[in-house]
Amino acid sequence: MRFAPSIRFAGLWGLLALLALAASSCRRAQQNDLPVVRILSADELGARLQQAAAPVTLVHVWATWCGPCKEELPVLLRVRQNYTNRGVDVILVSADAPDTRATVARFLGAQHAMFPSFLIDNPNARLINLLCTNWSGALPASFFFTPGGRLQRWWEGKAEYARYRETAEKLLEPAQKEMRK
Amino acid sequence: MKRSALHLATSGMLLLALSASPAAALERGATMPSMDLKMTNAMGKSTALADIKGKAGTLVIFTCNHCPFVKAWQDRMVRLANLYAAKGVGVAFINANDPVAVPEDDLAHMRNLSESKGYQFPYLMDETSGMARAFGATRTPEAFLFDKDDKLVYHGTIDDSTYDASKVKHPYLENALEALVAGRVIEEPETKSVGCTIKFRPETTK
Repeated sequence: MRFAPSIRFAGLWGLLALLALAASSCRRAQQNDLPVVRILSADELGARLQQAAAPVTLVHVWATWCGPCKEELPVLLRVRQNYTNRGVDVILVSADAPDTRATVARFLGAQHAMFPSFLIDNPNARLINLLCTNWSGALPASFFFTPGGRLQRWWEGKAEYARYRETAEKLLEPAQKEMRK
Repeated sequence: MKRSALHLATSGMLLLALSASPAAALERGATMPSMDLKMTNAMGKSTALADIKGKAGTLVIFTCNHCPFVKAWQDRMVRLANLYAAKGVGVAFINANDPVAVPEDDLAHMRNLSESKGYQFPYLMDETSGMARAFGATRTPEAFLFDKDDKLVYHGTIDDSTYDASKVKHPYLENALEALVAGRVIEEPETKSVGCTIKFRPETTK
């Protein structure tokens, strides 16, 4: 069977269009594979802590270029996996520069941290004073709040899973007692 | 493999250093410590803070080459340092990081940075991290400003907008320098921001 040149040409274009469509949907799939990283101000973070519905909120500040932070991130993902349903809301806040948001998303994607997370717009004294005035500003740092933005425990530097587990269990005790009543 | 082993080792040392130190930062009014401790400047010459002190006062900034916060503030820090060095303030930028932990913080990179950014003041390597320990410094960048009698009058960060110079509302360090030179009281003598941790060298056992 022979096609007129114009039909063969149209067929070729069709094939190219199909290939382009396949390539663009691949790109879309790749983009969808990256977690959302939203830029957040200290005021917005403060409002979120004030209005928290979960019995415990863990704010963890880190950065992609900080060695101990990168080593510790799997621990935070484990905490989130084991404690979200038990009432601990884990909020990851990156202190990377806002124009490197894509790098943060790629890093989190590679760690399979496929939930929405945040990047602070300006890691200044406002952020420090919101979380804990005694924080030196060193990364990583973890802060446990109960509703109303009440700081209960915090530390700077990386920690083992056991420290997070013990802290979460301790802070969840009142909520659990309330549920048993 | 070798690199990751080295990385693990240095992270371990960093953790040890973090848990063992640091001492609390100098209190306001404290005298400049370790003024005679020799450090090597980026050109390889030995010098001490006692040689650098200025008639109007002295600005010491613990900084480094690699830290993204330092990079964000670099041009603002150098502008202030050059400006006030010309107004009689002695200026020293000090790198206390261990190049074993962060190769980019070695002397060769210090020389390149100080030349490319036009430092008109010494950029010193704190070869034992002992100067940072004496100051109780923990972060980069972290500024300490002393008056003409070597008493601490300002400690903290550069300004309130790490990543965006156009959004600075409180130029803390510039205000402190201006007040010092003009003989006025520094209104915000203690400020903070998120910074990189100083990568201390292991403390030598005595």
